[in-house]
Amino acid sequence: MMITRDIKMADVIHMNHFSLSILDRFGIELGFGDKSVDETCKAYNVDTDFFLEIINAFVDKDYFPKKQLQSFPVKLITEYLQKTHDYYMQVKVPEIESLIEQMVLTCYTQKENISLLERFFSGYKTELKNHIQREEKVVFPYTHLIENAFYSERIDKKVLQQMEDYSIDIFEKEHDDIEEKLFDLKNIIIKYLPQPNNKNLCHNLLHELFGLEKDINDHSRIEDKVLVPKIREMEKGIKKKAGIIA
Amino acid sequence: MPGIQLLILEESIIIQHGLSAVIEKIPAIRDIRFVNSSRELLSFLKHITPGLIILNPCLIEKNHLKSIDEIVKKEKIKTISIHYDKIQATPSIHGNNTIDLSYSEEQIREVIRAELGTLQQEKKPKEKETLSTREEDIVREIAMGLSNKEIADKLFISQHTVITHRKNITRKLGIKSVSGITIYAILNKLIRMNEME
Ligand SMILES: [Fe+2]
Ligand SMILES: [Fe+2]
Repeated sequence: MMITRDIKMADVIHMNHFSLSILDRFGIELGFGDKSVDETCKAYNVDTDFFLEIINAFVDKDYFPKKQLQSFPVKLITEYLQKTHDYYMQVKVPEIESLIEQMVLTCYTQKENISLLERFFSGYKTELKNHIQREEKVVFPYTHLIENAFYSERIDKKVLQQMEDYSIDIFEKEHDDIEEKLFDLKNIIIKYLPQPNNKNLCHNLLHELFGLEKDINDHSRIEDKVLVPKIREMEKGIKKKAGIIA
Repeated sequence: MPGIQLLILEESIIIQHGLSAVIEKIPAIRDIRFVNSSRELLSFLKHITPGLIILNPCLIEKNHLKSIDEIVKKEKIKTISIHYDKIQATPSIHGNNTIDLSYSEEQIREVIRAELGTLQQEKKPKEKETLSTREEDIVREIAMGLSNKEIADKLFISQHTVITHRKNITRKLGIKSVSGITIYAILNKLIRMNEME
């Protein structure tokens, strides 16, 4: 079912409780009573249309009106992506780390194996951190530069130089599949790790891994299918304005 | 189940229609297409791989025979020949089940079902998830941190073969990364923890 501006915000959570993390990213807090999506967004100064696109894309894998999402300002999109990064590094990753840590502590059947998972996840964390840093230090600033240039009257030579040095095509190529190791970890636990004595922790861990994988999937989709094409169009526009291409 | 696509090579309209009327009653068949010549058959096979081909062997031109036969073998397509009279040439295409035009409806369906039955049975071992001994050797080397080239040199196989093995390993295990494969290797005692580093 598609989420619209008039349905109750509470029902959005009832439909798919994973949406909680999305609300959190927009700074929306629980306790919204019977307020609609639109009313809640307004109360928190959130662009309702943007919220709707993001939440619908998240809830329904097949819903992806990228044309519409592409009409939002670049800064709005990167701000959202940035917040998602923070959520991964400050909330989700530490949560998973502490789950694994507890598992090691309370496991007496196969401590060594669980320690392997711990090491694996810490390797993953480093990978994720590098991935995110690259985007925040290089890619996002570049997209802001392009957006500013696109809307300015005259094209600065410096901008053209920077477009020579980097382009969104380069990002698209170097942008790697950061869910891969989560996928592996899930399969290792589901298929190959003999069930440890503390199975509830193990189930919680799996649940968290599924959640994070889905979330990152959705996040990468916005990067690849919304941000990249939008910036590519703008790059073209700038080159036209500068007379580089017809 | 997605169903099986069937291709019929036959020029007679009457036989085309007759066959499809009989075959339509087999639920496993999803889609029936007709071609009139072996040239058409060949160009069709370049784009689409049917599960089963029913063919009139007389329509296969000599210069197409080899290519068609190769595709049929490579893609493991089942074939059934239509048998017209006693002076039938020996079946030219891989596979030897025949439908005789004198068969009853039920007999025709039986031949097809038998052929589809082997199709479904043969798919099973393909999906088997356990690693072969060779694949286990490769898992061990990956876990020890060897590159494709080093593995190829050590096991006296080509790098290309190593890559193919790696693809199969990933598909079977559901594990893509080197560090994931390493954990698999340890859990399954292919290597010992103190062996790596
Ligand atoms: Fe990102
Ligand atoms: Fe990313």
